[in-house]
Amino acid sequence: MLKMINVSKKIDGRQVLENVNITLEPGMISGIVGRNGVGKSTLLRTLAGILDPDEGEVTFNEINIHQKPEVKQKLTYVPDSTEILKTYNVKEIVKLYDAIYEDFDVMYFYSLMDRFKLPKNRKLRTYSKGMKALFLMILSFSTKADFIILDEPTNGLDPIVKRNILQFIIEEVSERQLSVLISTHHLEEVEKIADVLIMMKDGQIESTTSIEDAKSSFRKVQAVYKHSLPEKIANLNNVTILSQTGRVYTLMIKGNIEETMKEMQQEQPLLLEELPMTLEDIFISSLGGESHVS
Amino acid sequence: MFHKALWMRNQKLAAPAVWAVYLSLFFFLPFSFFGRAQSLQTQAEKFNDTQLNFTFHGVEIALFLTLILVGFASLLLGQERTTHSADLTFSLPFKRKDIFLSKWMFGVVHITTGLLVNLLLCMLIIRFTILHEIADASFLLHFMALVIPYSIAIFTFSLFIGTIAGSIVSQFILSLIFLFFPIGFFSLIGTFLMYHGIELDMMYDVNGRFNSFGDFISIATLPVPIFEFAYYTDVVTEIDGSVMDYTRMPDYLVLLSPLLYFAVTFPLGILFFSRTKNENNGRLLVFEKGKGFFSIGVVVCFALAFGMAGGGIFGSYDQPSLLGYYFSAAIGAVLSYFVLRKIMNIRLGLSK
Repeated sequence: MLKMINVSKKIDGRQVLENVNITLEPGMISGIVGRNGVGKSTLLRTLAGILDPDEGEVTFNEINIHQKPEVKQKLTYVPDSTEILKTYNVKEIVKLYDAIYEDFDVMYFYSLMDRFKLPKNRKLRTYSKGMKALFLMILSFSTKADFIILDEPTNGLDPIVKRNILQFIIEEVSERQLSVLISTHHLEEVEKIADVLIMMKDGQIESTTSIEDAKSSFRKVQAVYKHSLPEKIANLNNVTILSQTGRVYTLMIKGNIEETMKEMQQEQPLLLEELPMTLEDIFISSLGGESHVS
Repeated sequence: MFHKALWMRNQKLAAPAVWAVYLSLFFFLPFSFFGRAQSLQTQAEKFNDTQLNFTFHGVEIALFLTLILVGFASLLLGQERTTHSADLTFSLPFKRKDIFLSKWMFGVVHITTGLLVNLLLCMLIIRFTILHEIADASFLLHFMALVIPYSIAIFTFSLFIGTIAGSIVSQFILSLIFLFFPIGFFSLIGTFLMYHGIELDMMYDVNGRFNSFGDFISIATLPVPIFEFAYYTDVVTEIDGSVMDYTRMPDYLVLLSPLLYFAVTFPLGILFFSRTKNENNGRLLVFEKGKGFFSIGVVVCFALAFGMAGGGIFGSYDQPSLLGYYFSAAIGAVLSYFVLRKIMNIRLGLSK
């Protein structure tokens, strides 16, 4: 079990992480989402022991990973940079990882290389960006780690490889109680494979819920009233206006759904219907804020 | 403590520096010795020349060796910070202390081996060539006793600078600046005091007894005693019965200098590396807390340097201008303050 307990971190005088608490159970895929600059990479790098927390601690199976980094034999991190190891060729990397990780499975690694049709006799720098990302992921899974942290893993991958790799992650997790934490902007991926959704906002964990719970605590509706949206509805704390075209409003209701729907009905709408909802809608309504990218 | 994987990683990181150590030492030592032996042989055979002489100065290899040692340390440590591969290294299941020690050990093994092998080859060349007739190879043992501890100290010092510098460029530049810092800084202080009526004895002679301020600062400047090593032999005087064979070896007391440098920078290097702030990789400095102290130091040094240069311009040789000194110092301080503010937050890194 990987735990982040009351972790805070300042960078350049800015509070990037504030009192972050996360518990990641074995056999789960967790997706971490949040806007740019919200602290996702800092969180992942702190979990991997690259950055030190100013306060709090990170434990893996109850052992502090900063004090006893040896426990990271079973915890690997795949950064979003594909530039690492680029001067190595495949054989050199296999030798290196075999020397680092006690349980590194060379046969398994080569079988994955075959499965994803990656060339074996080349330097990593000759790989395309997508190939490098895929390669680093294969390498990480071949260490037989119990916990794998993936920072933007599908960046640069074409849709077919992306689908294969997501399928592969699901297989690995279901086969050997592996735990995976993925940071990504591709919400449809999280929706497809994650069990747990972690939303980050302003360096804090906004919510940690299962995808089903997340979806059931939101409802997306389209409403049309005779005039504009009644003030009573617009002023509700749990209602966010996603878009407005004339008198047609697309609204997101967060929590207290049935009661809110009743109130909306009481205002005699011309139209009030539920719309299919994606994770993106939840993301925008929960974490959207201002439209600028920070 | 020793991890094969870290050794392999260091090998990959610093391969160019390893080659540079072995090849440059080979060219500067045995290759050069053999070349000189060949030309002396020709000189003796063709011209029946009795005026054969052979000299060896530490300065012939010291400057280049210093650059290579600093480059070696920078490739091992600063390079990772610049190329984002520090993230990989720090995510591995190794203690930070072990990562630092593996880098240090890797460098020390190659530097010591390179020096030992090449100096040994030089001894063999002296033994089996015409040099045997004019030179005594034992001077190389003295040189070895000097150059090995100094090289290890320079490398350790540069690795230590790498624990506070945020990139390969800043590690390389700051290492060179701080290696020669004592001689530079005390010259600036000496000039400052001179303008205020206090004279310091800036002359130095590391080969004699240490009794001047200049002696102290030259010993405190790591590479200087290697520069001072010299061996000279001249066969002409042997005809008169008096052998001219002279080794200028700094007093063994100077070996305290690398020892002290090592005793301070090695444990501090381990400490700082263990507490490194990877979020500042690519910047001039890794630690936020040291920025203020560093900035004050840089501004003071630039003020003193500008004062030294400007005071001379405004005054005459025997009557330096104190007003000119302070005027130039103020310009130096203001300029350096603004330039430093600009470069302090620049992130030198390769794209992801």
